[in-house]
Parts: sequence; structure tokens; C-alpha cells
Amino acid sequence: MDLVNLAHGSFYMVGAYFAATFVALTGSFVLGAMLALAATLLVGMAVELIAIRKLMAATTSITCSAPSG
Amino acid sequence: MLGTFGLILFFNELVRLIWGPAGMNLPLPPYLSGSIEILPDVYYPVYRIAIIAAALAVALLLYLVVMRTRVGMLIRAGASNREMVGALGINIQLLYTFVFGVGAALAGLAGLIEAPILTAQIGMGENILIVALVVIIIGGIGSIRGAFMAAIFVGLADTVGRAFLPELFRLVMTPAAASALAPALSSMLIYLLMAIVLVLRPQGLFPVDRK
Repeated sequence: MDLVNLAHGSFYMVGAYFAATFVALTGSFVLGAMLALAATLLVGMAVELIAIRKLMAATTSITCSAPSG
Repeated sequence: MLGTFGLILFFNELVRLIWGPAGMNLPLPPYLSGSIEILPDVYYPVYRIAIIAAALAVALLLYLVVMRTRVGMLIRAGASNREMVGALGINIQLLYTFVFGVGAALAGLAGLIEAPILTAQIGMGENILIVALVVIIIGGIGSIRGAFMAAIFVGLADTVGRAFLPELFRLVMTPAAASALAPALSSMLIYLLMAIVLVLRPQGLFPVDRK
């Protein structure tokens, strides 16, 4: 995996916004939190499919000589 | 790594487009917003106890999934030799997408836990990145156990430093010098710890075996 993922800061923010939105919509803290988790999971998987996979493919040839981990 | 920094900029603007530039509050339900008496005359917010419980639950769950299930075994195998796992007929790309998604969800969980205390706002995630990096370096890169231990260690060092260093310095120097030095040193403390760990054990406190 050998990827330093700074985007976790963004997922942290997105999770907070989703939670605030879903808790306001559903009126339940626990239900809103679970919806927010599921939504952030989907966002993360979409980011991997759209961006990370291509980034890794594009940079592996340059960075694989670096010590792994 | 630079690409993921680009994602931060992208998400900051996306959030600004969807939710607007103002922050959002996440109100706590009544059953989480009180305080209870944990020691005689010592009150502690229920929500903070819930945070501790949730964090420990996540740690336990993560340990069980990674160490005790088939999916966890595949994740560990993929981390040490991606091509071999792929050659054995596992859809390693799909697995990676899923693992990345779970990582995102865990980060999102941290964000939603913090949202009632701070507010959900643009750029809130950047503040945690540097602390997260310190934790990872001290624990050993790639080590889940190391991250767990280092997170407790760094959290304790930071809080105890902020709470007690000013008092400690007042004992040995003038109050003026102490009140100038203590806040500076206590906010530096975790980076000093990281520097010391890097000098003594560059691979971190709990390095991963890579044979």
C-alpha cells in the first residue's frame, strides 16, 4: 500500500459534514452517524477508483525504488 | 503523496460548493450531553466517555478483522506482496478499493465524533494531519499496534504537557519566564518526542517485520 494519504484530512471533514447533515435530516444521532459512515465509505471507494488507482499506476515507476514503508 | 494533497484542495472546494462556506453544528442528543460524577466531586462529560469507548471499540474491531478474518489475512498478504496475492486469484484491486474506503470511513468516523465538540468546517482536517503523522512515525510506519500505542502515548504527552508543564516550570524559574516558555514547549512536546524516537529508533517503537 505504501501510500501516505493526506486526503484522510478531507475524509475527516467530509465525515463531519455528512454527520451534521444526516443527523439533521433523520433527527437521530446514531442513525445519522451510521449513514455518515456508509456515505464516507462510498466517497473513499470512489476516490480510490477515480484518483488513487491512477496516481499509483502513474507514480509507481518513480517511487518503487524508495524504501517501502 | 502530493496527489493526495491535491485531493485536499479538491474536497475543500467541493464542500464549499455543496454546504457553503459557513461551518455546521452537530447538536448532541440529550443522553450524550450531560456530565456524570466519575469520582467524588469530579464530573466528566458523558460524550467524552462515549468517545473513549468508541475509539477502543474501533481499535478492537480493527484488530479482530485484520488478524482473525479471511479478509484481514488477504489485506496483510496484499500489503507484503501484492502481485503474489493477485496471482493466487484474489481480486486485489477490488480489495484495495475496499480497504481505502474503510480507511476513509474511519477518518470520517473521527470527523463525526469531533464535529459536536468543534464544528464541521472547511479545513478542519488539515489540523489533524500533522499529529497523525507524528503518531505514525513514533509507532512505526505500517504498524497498527504501533499506531494504537503511539496514539495513546502522544495524546497523553500532549495533554499532560499542557496541563502540568507551566506548574513545573514555575517551580524552577521566575513566573514570567515560566509563562513564556511553558506554552511554547508544551505545544512542541510531541514533535520533540518524535525527534527523540527518530534518533533512537528510526524504524519507530513497534516496527513491522518485513522479511
